[in-house]
Amino acid sequence: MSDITKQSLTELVENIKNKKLSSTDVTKAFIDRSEKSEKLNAYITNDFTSALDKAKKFDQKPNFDLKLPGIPMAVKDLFCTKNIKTTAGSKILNNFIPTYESTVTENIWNEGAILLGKLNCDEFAMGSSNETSFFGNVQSPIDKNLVPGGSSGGSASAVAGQLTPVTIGTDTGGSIRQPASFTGIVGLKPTYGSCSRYGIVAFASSLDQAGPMAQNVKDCALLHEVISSYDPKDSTSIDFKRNHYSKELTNNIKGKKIGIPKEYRVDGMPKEIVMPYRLII
Amino acid sequence: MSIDLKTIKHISKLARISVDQQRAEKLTLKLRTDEVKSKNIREQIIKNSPQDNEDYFVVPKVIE
Repeated sequence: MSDITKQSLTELVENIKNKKLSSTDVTKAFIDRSEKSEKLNAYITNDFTSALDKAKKFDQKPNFDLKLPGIPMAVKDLFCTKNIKTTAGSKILNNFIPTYESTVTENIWNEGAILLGKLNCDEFAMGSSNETSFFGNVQSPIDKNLVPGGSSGGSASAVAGQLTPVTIGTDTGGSIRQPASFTGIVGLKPTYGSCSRYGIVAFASSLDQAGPMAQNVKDCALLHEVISSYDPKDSTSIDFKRNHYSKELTNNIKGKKIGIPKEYRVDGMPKEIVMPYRLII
Repeated sequence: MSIDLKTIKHISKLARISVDQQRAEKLTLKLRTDEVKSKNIREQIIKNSPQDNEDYFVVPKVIE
């Protein structure tokens, strides 16, 4: 059972497609591990019973043409999920049950994925350590004395702790990238306009973007493909006409230029950060 | 609000960013036609009202 949760998203998709694993197997494994990891406090709401039902239904009538066939996934509690409480980590929304679905989560379910539950985050995404949630702090799976980062702290902790194979977070000023970095996973803030903001509890609307958080770059590319789409319900949505990120992975970045803002280096940086910075950059 | 050329020129002046005619035209945004796209969703919307009411969101009086 524990081997299943160690697998990457792409591995799980392949194993489900070639029938080595069923959606029920995979969903049970992640539910099991999630139930045993309550001390992380990564979940605000869980939908485990319904998730298992959906997994069984998928196995009865599988569709292997989908990009996320029968894959269980928990998502940050900033995305409106129809009929499932959505709190944004706040007491104010502790009784809010959306009557509609956010576009990015709709894209995910349309590709066959199954909702496991909603993940903890800083209240209204306003934080960088997941210590401001009404539902309590999130622990980093690396060490109980470390914060997972924020605001997508529950999301980062859940992926790093293998409570979900992948997830989506939101990033306004670093809220995907920083917790991903703190927990040793991969997080991507997509180009503004590529992922619809419809149905996401807003923070700074000209900066907010939903994005993938996963164990590796390949998984991020696949999830990014699924969530990015032109959406007329978001007036800042752009049709990039380019959505095959998985195919563009070449395993080789030799010769590519990486831009690093010079403002990343400031006065008074701790020595242990300056040293590797000097060596690598 | 729609964003026409006049608005773009005004914003570019305020922001001290020069925008040539071609680029300005690409930045314009037209309003879509005003047509009803969602029908019969009153029940869904009223579901989140704090008080049981079929027609309105009833909230505490805030203006004296």
